[in-house]
Amino acid sequence: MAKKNHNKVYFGIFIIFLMVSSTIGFMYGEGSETKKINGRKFVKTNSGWQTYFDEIGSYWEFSYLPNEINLDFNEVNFYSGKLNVYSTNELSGGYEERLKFIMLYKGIIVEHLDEENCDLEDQTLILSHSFENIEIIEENNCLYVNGNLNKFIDGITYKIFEVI
Amino acid sequence: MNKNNTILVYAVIIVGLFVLSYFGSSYVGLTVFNFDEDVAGEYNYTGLFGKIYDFEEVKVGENTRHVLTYKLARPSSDGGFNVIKTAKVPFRYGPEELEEISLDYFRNHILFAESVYITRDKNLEGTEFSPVAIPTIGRILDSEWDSSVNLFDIPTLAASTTVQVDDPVSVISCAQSNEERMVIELRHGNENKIYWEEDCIVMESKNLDDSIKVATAAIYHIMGII
Repeated sequence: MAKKNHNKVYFGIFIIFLMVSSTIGFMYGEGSETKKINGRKFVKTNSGWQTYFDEIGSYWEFSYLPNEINLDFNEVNFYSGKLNVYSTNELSGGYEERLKFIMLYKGIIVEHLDEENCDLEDQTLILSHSFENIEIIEENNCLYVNGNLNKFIDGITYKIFEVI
Repeated sequence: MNKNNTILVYAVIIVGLFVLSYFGSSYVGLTVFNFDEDVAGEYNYTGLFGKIYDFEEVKVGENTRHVLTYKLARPSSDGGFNVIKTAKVPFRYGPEELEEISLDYFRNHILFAESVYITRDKNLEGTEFSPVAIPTIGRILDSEWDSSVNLFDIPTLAASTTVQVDDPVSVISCAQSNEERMVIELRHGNENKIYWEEDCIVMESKNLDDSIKVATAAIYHIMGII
């Protein structure tokens, strides 16, 4: 009789173990890929990588991880409260809006230029999108950004939030 | 252990497991049980610029409201950021429903304007434009319109493009728009869209309901969501 009761208890413990471990597995496993970069957790989603910025109390989604940017953003500095931007092709135009949005976090207002002009008082960014690696050339008061602008915008965002 | 005790132990275990599963699932963001009848569900919307916004769908009678939890952050003196204001704002439409409305980027011009006039032909209000359209924008921009929102403090005024007899409303049209005093003009047309006309922002809508949709798209854009 006592042995029968023991068996019931063991069986009960086994069932509890299975259910608790599957719940914990579901909680922490999720099946989604995560990466920790510069002390920050990134979770892979259908459209990129998501991370939480505690300082603004929001999640943000990126196309690229910080270690995929391949550009030293310490060399990229914007000096004043205003930045001009000119797009050399139609593909680049869409990135102007993202730039306008993210630069506001630094208190910098981005203004669109209809033509390239490096003689203005405020710095001018010349955007030229392609699927090559990013290359930044500084000439006069212009910063020429050639290459993958999606990576460039992700990089600027990471820099603003001090991820890189 | 008698039979009654065994049943009791199993009952406690099963209830315990349900509780554990519920909290576990809640922790990973799943809604298993919804105890609040008014809340239809929560969802996230990834904005055009990568930032993710939290919404809650709430039933108000027959209607659904999309309640946005909006956090306004500003650069802090130490070079980081601070969330300076948080507000829960209900909207008639969620951002996904408004993605088809084409719009030109104009948010910076509104955020840095000294004042904003939202104008329309007041004779068309109630037929082509909903009386809700202008307050949809005004209550977010100017805390004097709705102190419960209190996000931005951009002096915002409603105006009319036509003179109104016995109504002291300001007569303002696109022609009076400039960088300091931005004018947003509601117009009745064949499309739902928001575009620049020289220094003025035009919100074109096809009918009364669409005027609320276009106004909601405009304010989502100003808030950086679409």
